Amino acid sequence: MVSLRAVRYLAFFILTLTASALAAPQIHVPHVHRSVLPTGLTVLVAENHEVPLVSLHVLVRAGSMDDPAGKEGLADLTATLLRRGAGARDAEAFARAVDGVGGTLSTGSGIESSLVQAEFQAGDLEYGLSLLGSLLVQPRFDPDEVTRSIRQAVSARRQALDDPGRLADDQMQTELFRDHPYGHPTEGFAKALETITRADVMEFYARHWNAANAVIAVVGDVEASEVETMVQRAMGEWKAGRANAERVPLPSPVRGRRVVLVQKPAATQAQIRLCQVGIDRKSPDYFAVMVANTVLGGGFTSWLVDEIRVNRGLSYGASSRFYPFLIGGYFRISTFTKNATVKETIEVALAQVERLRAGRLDSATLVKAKNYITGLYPLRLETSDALADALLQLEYYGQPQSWIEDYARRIEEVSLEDLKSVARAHFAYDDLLFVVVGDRAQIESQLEVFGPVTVIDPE
Amino acid sequence: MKRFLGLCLVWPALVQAGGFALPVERYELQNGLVVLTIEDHSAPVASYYTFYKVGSRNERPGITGISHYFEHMMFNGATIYGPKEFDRLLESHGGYSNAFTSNDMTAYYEDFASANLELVLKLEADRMHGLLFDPEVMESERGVVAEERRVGTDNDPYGAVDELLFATAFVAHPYQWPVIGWMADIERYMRQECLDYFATYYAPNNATVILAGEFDTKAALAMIERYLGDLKPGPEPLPVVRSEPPQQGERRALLRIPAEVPLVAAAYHVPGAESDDAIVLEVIGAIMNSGESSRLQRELVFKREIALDVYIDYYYRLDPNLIYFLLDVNPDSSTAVAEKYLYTELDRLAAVPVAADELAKAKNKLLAAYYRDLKTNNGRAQQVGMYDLWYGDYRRLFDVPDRLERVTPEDVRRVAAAYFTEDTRTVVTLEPVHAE
Repeated sequence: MVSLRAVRYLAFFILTLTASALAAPQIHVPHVHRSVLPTGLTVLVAENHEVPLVSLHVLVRAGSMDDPAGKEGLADLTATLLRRGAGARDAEAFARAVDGVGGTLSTGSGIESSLVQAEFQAGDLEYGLSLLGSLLVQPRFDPDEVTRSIRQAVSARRQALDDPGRLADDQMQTELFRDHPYGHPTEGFAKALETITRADVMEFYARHWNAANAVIAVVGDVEASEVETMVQRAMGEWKAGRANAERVPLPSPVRGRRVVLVQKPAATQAQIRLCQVGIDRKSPDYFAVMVANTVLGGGFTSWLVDEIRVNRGLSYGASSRFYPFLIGGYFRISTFTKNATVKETIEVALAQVERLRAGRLDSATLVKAKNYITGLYPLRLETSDALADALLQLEYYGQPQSWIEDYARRIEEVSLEDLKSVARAHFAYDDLLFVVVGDRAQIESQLEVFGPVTVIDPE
Repeated sequence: MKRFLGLCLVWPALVQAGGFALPVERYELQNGLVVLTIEDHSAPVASYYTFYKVGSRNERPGITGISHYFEHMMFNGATIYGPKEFDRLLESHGGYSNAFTSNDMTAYYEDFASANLELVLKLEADRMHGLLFDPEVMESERGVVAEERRVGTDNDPYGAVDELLFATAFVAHPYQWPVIGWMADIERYMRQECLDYFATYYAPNNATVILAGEFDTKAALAMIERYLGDLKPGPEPLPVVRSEPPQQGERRALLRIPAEVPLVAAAYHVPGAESDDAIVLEVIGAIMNSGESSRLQRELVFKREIALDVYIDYYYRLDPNLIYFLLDVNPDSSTAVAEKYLYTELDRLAAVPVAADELAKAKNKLLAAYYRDLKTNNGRAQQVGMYDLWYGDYRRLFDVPDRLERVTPEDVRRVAAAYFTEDTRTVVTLEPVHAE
């Protein structure tokens, strides 16, 4: 078993597209060919000949926020079922068709959108596209597969309880957003999943999985000029439908401080989350917030890592991150520590937020954070699959491809004054939700100082 | 030591079947440090890896996990750059660093803009010259590692099962203890033990450097020689004895901890990376569990719904090793039933030669995964380093497509029959306890 220094807890910029700076390399994004098929399907193509593989990713503008109340998990279940049989192939035959040529194909939903992510060897591009077309246009939703997938999804919810970090993230989402469409785990609730029928799945598919509501990115060892025709051939019959408009209200922020203790009996370590709703993707403060967050909780030299991990040895990981959506978003601090030091760890985390809000930063800190962001950006777009996802996100958020090239400059333009101003505006301190997963007997009394404590059993 | 650009050049990589190869060049400095370069001008970035041939197999009871503890301490102050300086300097230049430890080796890497190569060399040379082991920092880092153990083992059912499985399957060889180490050992490493460990295992003759990305090979080598050429070689590390006696009878262990989902893991002894059977075991892994049409996924997860998911754990290792099959058991079924069907599938593999199209499917899966690992500078440097460690010859990396192609249905049957036997099996069962 390989043991990593901290990789898992440094996934802090996945949603974020960043770019280049003085110390950093210029970003060279391959030319992106963009076209729109007659059905309204947007097609993005880019070449990358580093290895003989090609990534085929499809984004559909429908995610867990489109789950009907009481049917939480429907978006993700629908995405799962798309790969469980299409056209003439039942589930097993479809899986064999993908696996047979060494392909991979996964489907799933996030809060805002659903994704199909496939990868094939370059020589199998046309074949891969035809499989993808079949999945998108002619899914079978065989009754046996629907009931099986529901049983599996219910079991997976139970299994999620065995992962304290995952449990903390799920409960945080539920407690932070409550009745808002963002307010449940993407994978749904076990009780809700059990009520889902094949008709629900087919209705969700019919409403959302349409060409005009989708974008496909083909990136890799391809001849760009040939791809659009292939896509048209493979999925030109996809029902046009229409693109989903913005359809959720702005989530309300947490007022005051509130603690939710999720019971995990006999745990020797507590998972800790501090959160508040946050900026959206188009916020004018976006770039300054990214820089400020890097100071607070990005990388190995952030204040959170420095004070919690390096100076005190309280945790293996500590980070903060913004999750900006099309509408609203959230901010989250994550860490974990042994039972005896839960209170101390939270206090240290809060002190770093306060330090940021008080504007106690110098220009060296600012420069380090900017260089870190811009330096890592090219690496985040280095692979075809990463670039494909980035291009899909730009489409989803209605941002131009120049956003990538401009990112470095816009990060560079962030001033110390900008930082101080966004620190007070967007880094919550007095209004915070605390979610802690752990052994109640060991930690409850340590939490009372932070606010009224609600004890819950998961799900 | 003299400053001397060592020059045991150069095995140019050849284009292999599949038409893919990397322009690797190999050098050895006078002090024994091996340097492998992979020059590539497609983007102005680079990755720098240092593999030290030390992992948990080099440890002994009482200092288990010290190799991994080193992996942390290597970021905590050296001769010139004190605590916190490594990360601060690298990050302020837009670079990223991390490291990982296995049973066999410890690897450190930096991803950075190619203009910053000299900074990376300064940092790496400094910590190869000597570590501070500041007592206060040592204490704090113990706490960090203890939390890493809590998150990855003590509060993670998979980590707990993995640990007990290796501890049960091995009675003599160091693979019996976990890479992260036992908690009591983490709490007690002494400073002097660390200094001794460093002198032996962190010497240039026990390391390989791989540089991949944009640079001029000649200039980069001169720079490497300038910063790393004056390091003194260390004593030859003691060889690790292949001490494990043959297993003669199934071993079973039970883990009763708070959990929702039962787990069962069945392990078998298999040879190390040097064996020609290693790649056959990879093929078996793909036949059994790569993709939803693979045998265990199809039979156990989808058809019978006995398992929520199945994992196969198999890594190339320097010494004889384990392959294990881990099942997330459907709480409505039982670990006994899950085991029965797993063994049915393993017996079938040992009895009936795999069909040609199923074998081709597995090979295609592995070939795609092979390319996937080579997508980035970091991935290319890592793979070249791993193959150099396993075989003493990075060129074995480029044989993979050929060797894969040569695996026959009879190889698969023979290898399954040879290793998947009841008497050499070790089984760990996680039985959920509902604590209150």
